[in-house]
Amino acid sequence: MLPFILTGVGIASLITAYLTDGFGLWSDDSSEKYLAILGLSGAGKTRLQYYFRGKHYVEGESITGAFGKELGQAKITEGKRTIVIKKGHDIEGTLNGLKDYTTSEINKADIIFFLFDMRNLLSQKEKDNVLGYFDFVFVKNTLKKKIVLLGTHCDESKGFNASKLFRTQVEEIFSSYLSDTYTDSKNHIEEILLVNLKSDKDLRLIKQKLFK
Amino acid sequence: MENLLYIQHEKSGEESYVFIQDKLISLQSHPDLNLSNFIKVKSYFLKINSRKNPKGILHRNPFNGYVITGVLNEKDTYGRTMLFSCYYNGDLNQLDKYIDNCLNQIDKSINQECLKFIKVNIRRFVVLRNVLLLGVISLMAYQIFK
Repeated sequence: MLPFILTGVGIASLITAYLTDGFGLWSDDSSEKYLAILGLSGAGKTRLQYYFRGKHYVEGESITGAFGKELGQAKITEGKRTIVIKKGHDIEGTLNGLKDYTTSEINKADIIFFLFDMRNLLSQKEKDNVLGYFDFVFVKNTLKKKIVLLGTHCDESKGFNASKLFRTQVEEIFSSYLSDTYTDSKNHIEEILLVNLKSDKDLRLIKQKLFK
Repeated sequence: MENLLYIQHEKSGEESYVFIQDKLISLQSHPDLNLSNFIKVKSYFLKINSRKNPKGILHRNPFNGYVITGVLNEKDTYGRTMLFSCYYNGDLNQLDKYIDNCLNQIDKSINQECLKFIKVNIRRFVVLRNVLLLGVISLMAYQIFK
């Protein structure tokens, strides 16, 4: 009788263990992350949120709007590793929207992506807007969470901002701004990446940042 | 509360268009104006979402107003379809005039399909409210006169 009972208990344990992710013994090494994707209007926040969640971005889609958009949970994999992207919020990139949502997004975040349209660094007014918002994000990031800076739209002004020279200029503008303004910025600025969010190669590069 | 209409500017970093009643105002000259009180209703009584394009969202809040998100015919500088958000608690027959009046001042226009969606669903809300009211009154009358 005893062998039957032991076998039964063993099978029941195995089923329980399977249903509860193996008590961590054979879990798939997945971790959960909340992504705060911040930036001014048109920087590419929605496109990036959609990419991480496997949603198709339709060109000419409507702007995010005053309510923002609630986004579902998703899983992404890189090799054998999996990350669960927690439910999130695609925020409106106007000053009103950013004022309302930036702090709460940063507080929830495991990683912060700060997006800016590279072309905006060329005119003084738009540059001030980008850097002004970055200041706001930096000040609100009291827990010094890692920030990935993404300069976007490097595809848009062909032959110009795609050039090495322009990329170097953008990197220099941000690097010198950071080192002049924030002495400890190197501790939590993960990287400055200049990307084209329409390029699969660049999107994969951004994805890799989640697995670092 | 007064009617309010809000539109994100077509250019990044520019101040959004805000109308109080049908007067275009600058947010900088109204620093105490909290848009969240008007258009970002957290608790609403009912919500209808348009599943098809063009997008339209209608919220009915408990204090007699409607919070509406709708589509314009114009695109922003990034080629995205522009939206408006509106808090409205006036005469429902005057809603399209109110929206048109505001939009004309900034050379914009509402998508007609979207306007149709809004008007049809406001009518549904009104019918639903009347049915509910009638139900409650009938129950009360039954309790009193039985």
